[in-house]
Amino acid sequence: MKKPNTFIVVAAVTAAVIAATWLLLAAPGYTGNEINMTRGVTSQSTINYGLHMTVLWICVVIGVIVFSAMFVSIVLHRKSRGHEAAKFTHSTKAEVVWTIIPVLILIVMAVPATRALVNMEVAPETEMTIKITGFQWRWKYEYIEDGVSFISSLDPASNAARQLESGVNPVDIDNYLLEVDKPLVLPANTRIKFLITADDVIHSWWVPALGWKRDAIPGFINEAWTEIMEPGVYRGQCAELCGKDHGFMPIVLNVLPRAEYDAWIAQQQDTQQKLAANLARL
Amino acid sequence: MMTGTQQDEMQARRKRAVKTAWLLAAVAITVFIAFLLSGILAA
Amino acid sequence: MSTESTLSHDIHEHDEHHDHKPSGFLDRWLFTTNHKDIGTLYLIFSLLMFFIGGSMAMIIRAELFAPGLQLVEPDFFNQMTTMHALIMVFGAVMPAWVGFANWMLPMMVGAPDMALPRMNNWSFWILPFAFAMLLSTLFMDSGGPAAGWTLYPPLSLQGGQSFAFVVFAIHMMGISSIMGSINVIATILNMRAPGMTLLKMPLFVWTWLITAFLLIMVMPVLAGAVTMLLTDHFFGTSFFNAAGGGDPVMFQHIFWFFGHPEVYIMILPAFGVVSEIIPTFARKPLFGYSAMVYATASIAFLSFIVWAHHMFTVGMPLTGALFFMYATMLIAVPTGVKVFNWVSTMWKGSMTFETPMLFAIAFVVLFTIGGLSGLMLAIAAVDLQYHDTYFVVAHFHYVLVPGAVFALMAGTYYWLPKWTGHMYSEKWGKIHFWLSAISVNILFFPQHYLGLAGMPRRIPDYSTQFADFNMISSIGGFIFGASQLVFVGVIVHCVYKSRQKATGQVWEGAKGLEWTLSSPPPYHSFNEPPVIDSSTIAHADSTH
Repeated sequence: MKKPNTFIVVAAVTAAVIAATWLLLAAPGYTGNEINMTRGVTSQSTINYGLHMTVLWICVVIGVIVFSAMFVSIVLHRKSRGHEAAKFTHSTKAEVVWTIIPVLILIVMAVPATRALVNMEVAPETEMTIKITGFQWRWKYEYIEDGVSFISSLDPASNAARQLESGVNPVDIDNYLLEVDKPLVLPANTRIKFLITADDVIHSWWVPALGWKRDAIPGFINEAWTEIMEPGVYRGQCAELCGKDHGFMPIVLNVLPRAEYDAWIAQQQDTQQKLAANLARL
Repeated sequence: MMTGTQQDEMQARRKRAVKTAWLLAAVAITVFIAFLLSGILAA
Repeated sequence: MSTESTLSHDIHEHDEHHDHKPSGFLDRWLFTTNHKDIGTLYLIFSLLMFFIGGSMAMIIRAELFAPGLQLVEPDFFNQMTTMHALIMVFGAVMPAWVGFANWMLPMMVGAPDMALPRMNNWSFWILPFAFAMLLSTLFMDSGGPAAGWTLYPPLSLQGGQSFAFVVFAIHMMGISSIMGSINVIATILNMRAPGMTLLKMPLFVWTWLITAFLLIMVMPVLAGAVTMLLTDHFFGTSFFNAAGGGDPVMFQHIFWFFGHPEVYIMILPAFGVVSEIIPTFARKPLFGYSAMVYATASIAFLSFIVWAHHMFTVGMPLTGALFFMYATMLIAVPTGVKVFNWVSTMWKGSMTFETPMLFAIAFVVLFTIGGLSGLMLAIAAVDLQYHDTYFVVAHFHYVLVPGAVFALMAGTYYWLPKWTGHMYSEKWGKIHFWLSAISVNILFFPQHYLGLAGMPRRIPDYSTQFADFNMISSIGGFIFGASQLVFVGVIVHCVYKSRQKATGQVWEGAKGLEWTLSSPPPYHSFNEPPVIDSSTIAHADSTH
């Protein structure tokens, strides 16, 4: 029982370290699987990414110190090596030290954490407002100032493929489950206010690239804001369990440069006005 | 076997235990009732 | 060892003589008021629930093995996630701890039995009915609960008629837990042997005492909350129904006021068990006994003022979010004290690595990983990214599976020889350990990556970018599930087949009153109060 034990412990730890390093460093390169939080395209997401990495590294360092001490002890202080048990039962000095040091680490973490939260919650003056309403299982977007509104639901190709025994391989569908029929079009470099609510049950509106999610709650209107720095397409999903098709209500943002956005919104207003006029004539 | 005093003491301890139990049950029921009442009165 | 074994054999024979075990099967098990028999019932029940809840997890992992829906409809998937959680929390982990409490507390404090033996019987026998009712909802027309174990309205109010059965089952589980905790507190406060002062009690007794107080404070709150859901659903009230002027967020506050202490209810006894096992196999007293007691009490206190960290995304005032963030971060301090003290207990010890010790060491390492990801989740701003993703799933499974469940397994291996009078198979115990410890990490570690990369929790199907890690996680899950059959094998072998008799002492380094009794112990543990002697108990010197 003596030698094999050491061998097993050492082998297991080595294997674990190699596996962890591989998964951390090599896996994304080979598989295209992202393993970390996105840096995103807003000030909030950038701050959150930085804060996430800071806290992650603090945790890794704490973990490495604690586990190394344990590992050293497991290797050296074993009966099979003839190590005699010491008799000490406490040390006030040590206990005070390892109460105070964590408190200091927490204070160091709390400062940027507080700043990030304040930045997230205290909205600056915004230039336009979008009202988002969650339904089972689609999103409704209203451009408050421009009087444009539409409903955005899961793209038909994904919807057909996701049925039980559909026979379609999800790999063949572009952006499987992360594509909608009508994306939310937003201007870049514009401060946008979101008013988020729901009509039936609680949903949660989440686009990781924006750096936050916010619950859409019936009877409440939640506020959030963003300023997207780069045009592009950003994808997200409902993040609060909202019934059987919770997994099938994606969010797609199509962020355009300001001029293109202005042209798009003018065109939308035009179509919606014509539609309204037609309806009135009927 | 247990001596008489030991048995008496055991008896006394069991009595105290029953008292503790009633007290704790009262706490649990009070929390439950108070909580429901707070919901009803707030509505 | 051999001389001791004959000695304990003698004691054993002697005790058998004074045992008054009821002879009929029903008398012995259905009408039992004996703390050991009730403890056994609790443990068997929780093992059964562990496998039922586990098979639901297998269905979940099988569906998530590859993108696309292959096996189940989304609604059934939601029923599985909901039932898996309810069964594991209320059916597997909590009753297992009550089982440990029943077996060990009277022996550890030097009492003949629990303080209220008949209520003890009642609190167990409610459970099979509660869970039969909960499981029966799966076969009803409207299906089982599918709104998640958190039962958030208005979604949970969309459930069909079966919702009433779920609520009533939760009421019964709550009543059972409250009766169990009343018994635990009454036993610990009143039935200790003369000389067993509070600060000489083993840490397992301390952690259970504090857990029982938590239970008595929060289970009635859960009962109240689900009662309000029930009246909202069936009697037209509007406590939480926004359509009628109710407040769905209020339910979340109430639920997590129960829910956060609840997670400590599952983990505090685990701290206790690990604090018993590590000193035994390090052959060295627990480092900083009183610090451990105070740390447990402060964790319990903090658990009441951190609930809203589960709901940073509902949109709360900045000051509220800051308060809950700071309070949550503070929990790291007493938890850190515990981890440091366990490591210091091992430090300069004379360690051996029998199965209980292996599980205890894995507990310390993997629970710490779960604790550190918990610290990350406490940062309110970043939690707006982490919340409701697989990162959270990874976090709480790390603290509950290689946390609470590993501690349960450690405790089982540690006390099984005491309970049965036989040694379990060390070889198969170790095989069970290594299979579990490796597969549990394959199962849950990749889920951190999935969550950070943006995969929400509670979804039956996912985008193809999440495919690889989901497959790895599922493979880990299947291995972990299968490994638990080894656990059952070891237990069955130990109870019925093992020929290796256990001594009273069992483990060379073990200290505490339970080891002064024979293995198996007499039917009534201490008919005469034991004399508390500093050589037999672990914390005789309470000056530190």
